[in-house]
Amino acid sequence: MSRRIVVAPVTRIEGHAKITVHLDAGGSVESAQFHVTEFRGFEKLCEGRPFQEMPGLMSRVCGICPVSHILASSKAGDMLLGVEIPPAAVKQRRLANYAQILQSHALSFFHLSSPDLLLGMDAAPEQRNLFALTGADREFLRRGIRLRQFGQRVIEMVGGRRIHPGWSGPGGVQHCFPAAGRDEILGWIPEALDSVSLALDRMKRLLDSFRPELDHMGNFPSLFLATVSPDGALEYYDGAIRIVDAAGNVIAEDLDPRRYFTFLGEASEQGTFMKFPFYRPFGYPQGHYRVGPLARLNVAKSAGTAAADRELREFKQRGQGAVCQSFHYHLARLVEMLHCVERIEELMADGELLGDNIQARAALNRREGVGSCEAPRGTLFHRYQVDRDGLMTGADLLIATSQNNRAMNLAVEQTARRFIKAGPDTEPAEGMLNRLEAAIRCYDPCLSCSTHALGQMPIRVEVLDSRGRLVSEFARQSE
Amino acid sequence: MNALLIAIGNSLRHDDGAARHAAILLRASCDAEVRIKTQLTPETAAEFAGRDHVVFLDADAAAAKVSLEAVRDVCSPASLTHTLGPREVVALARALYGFAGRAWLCRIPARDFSPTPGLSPRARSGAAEAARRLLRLLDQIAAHSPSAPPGDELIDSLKEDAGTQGPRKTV
Amino acid sequence: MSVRTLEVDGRTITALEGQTVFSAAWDSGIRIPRLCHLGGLSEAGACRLCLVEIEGQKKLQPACLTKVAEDMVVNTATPALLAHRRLIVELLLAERNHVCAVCVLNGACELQDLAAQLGVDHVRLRPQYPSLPVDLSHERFGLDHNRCILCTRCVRVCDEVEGAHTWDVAGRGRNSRIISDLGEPWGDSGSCTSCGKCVQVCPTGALFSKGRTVAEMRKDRGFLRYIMTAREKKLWIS
Repeated sequence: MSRRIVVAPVTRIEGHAKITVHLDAGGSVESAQFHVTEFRGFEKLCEGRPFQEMPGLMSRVCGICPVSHILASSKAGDMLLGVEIPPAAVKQRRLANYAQILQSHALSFFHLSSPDLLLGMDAAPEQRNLFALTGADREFLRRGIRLRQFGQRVIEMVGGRRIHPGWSGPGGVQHCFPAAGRDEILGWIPEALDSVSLALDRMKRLLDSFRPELDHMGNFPSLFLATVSPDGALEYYDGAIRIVDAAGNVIAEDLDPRRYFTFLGEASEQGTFMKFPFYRPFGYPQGHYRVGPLARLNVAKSAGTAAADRELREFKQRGQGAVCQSFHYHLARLVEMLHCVERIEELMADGELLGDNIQARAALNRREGVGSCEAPRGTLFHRYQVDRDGLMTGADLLIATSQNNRAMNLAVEQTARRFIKAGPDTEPAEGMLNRLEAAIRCYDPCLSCSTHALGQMPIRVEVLDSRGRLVSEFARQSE
Repeated sequence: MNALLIAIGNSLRHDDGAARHAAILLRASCDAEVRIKTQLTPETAAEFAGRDHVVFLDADAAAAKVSLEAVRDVCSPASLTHTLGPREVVALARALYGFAGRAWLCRIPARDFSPTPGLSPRARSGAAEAARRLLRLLDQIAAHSPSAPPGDELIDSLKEDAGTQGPRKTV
Repeated sequence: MSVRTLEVDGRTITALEGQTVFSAAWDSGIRIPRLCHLGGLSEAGACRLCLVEIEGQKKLQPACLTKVAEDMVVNTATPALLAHRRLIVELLLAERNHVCAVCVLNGACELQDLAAQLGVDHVRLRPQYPSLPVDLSHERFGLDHNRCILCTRCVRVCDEVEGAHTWDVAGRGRNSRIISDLGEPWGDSGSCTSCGKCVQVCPTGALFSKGRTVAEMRKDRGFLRYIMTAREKKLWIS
């Protein structure tokens, strides 16, 4: 008979995410799934409201990446108006997006993933403690916190507030960028570049000790989807969609993100409410694709900034065609952070950023608008329908975390197969459980916001026997 | 005495605003630094540098009554979520910012976290009681040596002192 | 016109015969809260925020509708009145869907300012969450019933100043709604001159200029005084 191991965070309010590993009678992994309740409700909330309100409303979807939702929503609004917004507004939006990717990646790498990376996957819980870090590592983590602060500060300067900035809307942005802010931002740049470079060096040196994780913790072929600039370089705000396969071949390019629903479909699977997006011409599951840092580096031909270009060339050497290891999301994140800092510095020298023509005024000119951008976790799409007066009649959000859904499932299953060596009656080892989490952490999924959970979601592990009875149970983070 | 009080919560999520309410009461009746945060972030840890005492206040669905306890430093840093709790922040502060003082968590019982402003009567009285308890804690800290942080006996004495004594200052 | 002397909040003030307690107090620097009164328009007594205590009278009186009298003793800010005002604001906030976070007038709203001024940091009443429409049929302006507090400033300014009387109130009690003409969409109104006065006098984000996003709109609170002074005194000063 088969046995089921459930790794389930328990929320005190609503929403849930868990890992379920099905073992066969012999204790080998039969299959594994990662479940998260898809976020719902925002689409319903929008109905009957003016589309101009959407950026403010959508910024509440997520506390980590409000800027992404504001940008996608503003761009959908731009399309409803049928306008091309002034250059100053574009530059402000770009600046905020780079800053947000920087701060989000800093949180993911330095705060969430560094314990795995610095202390190792097999460290016992009592050693998986920040006190175990050396003095140099402590400075390393302090730098990570400062990087996040830098990103937050830039967002605050553009948006006026640290979170939920309501500065951008259909047609442009609300305030001119404060010229005096440039010196402060430029003052941060040397330290930020230094910190990211240190992290890159450190990460590359660490890679050798993570050979099993590289090879078996989510190493599988897939398509990769991301936005690119007209010359095929990294692009986060506005561009065309390109898709490459595991061998690095371009499968599709110049796809219009505003027509995403024509080439991206959503499949359903038994046992979870979450959808599984796929590239329509390939069908499901062959058409499943990954988004986010790894996908962007696989898809882009170049970075477009000097230091990031060097790192990107080196990064591309790590795969045959595309880099397929989920573990390399971490390294990809660092390359992106370098690129973001470089782009922020560039924008400080760009006079257009300070322009005072920041709003294109127009009446409603279309009944459907789509906005997309590259969010920290991948390509984000907002699609709105409005009535003749501009009141919302429908909204569809395709978020990065759901596009990586199948990839996270595959990563969990592969990790379970490789690292779970539980017999029928033995408890799973700490290192195994940690790797299951780490496999998902590569994708830095936004669980707390996608489930609307309030407070912490501690990881609880349940071991169930073949009849579904609880054999053992243990929790991490018992608060 | 160099104490920092951090109230955590969102007043738009009903009883989640209990700690914020307690913080407002505390600000009116003591000199300690009181900060209100919707949530804890890694940067919060940097604010602990050089503090002798840090006290968190939080609404808690699992708490049966107002409680005051020491925050344990040992934590597993691994998490799938982007939220931080007092234990993680204290651990970060100790590991990264040389925080060597004591940390407490005051829990305020709360049940309803629905998206409406306002507090249930229970959370409101819990917030008032929490504020009274913390004022006493601050007094007792001040009564001890200003340099040496009080030891476990203070925590023990506070545990027994479960709100039976009248408040010294009116809250 | 003869002068009356009265006491407001312990101060002796003078007022003209026929002046309201509200405006006499206001002239003497005593600001009684209000949401429906607006200088230049007739009084409606709709919001009840200016209720005051008058010695010798059992009932509270709306200052905006009460004429001054000799030796009248008025209290405008007793603890009981402040408690009533807070409750009135809470009732207004609970009645419809006042979501400041996505409102065009966030940061410049009279209701929001008054709530802050009165210390309304939470609403003790159960929100009603009515399902109310938004009318965006007008080319330039929008009406969001969710944010309407039925102060009727729009009704009065349209009738008394613009002379169009596009707006009126339909329904009773909780079903009361501002309507244009006989209830058709604003954009189809035959009487509306699109002058925008109603939008400027509206204390909340219920009436707004289209195309504005969150917290982006600011209303011109001085325009009515300007045109009324111009009309009545032939003085074009702002």
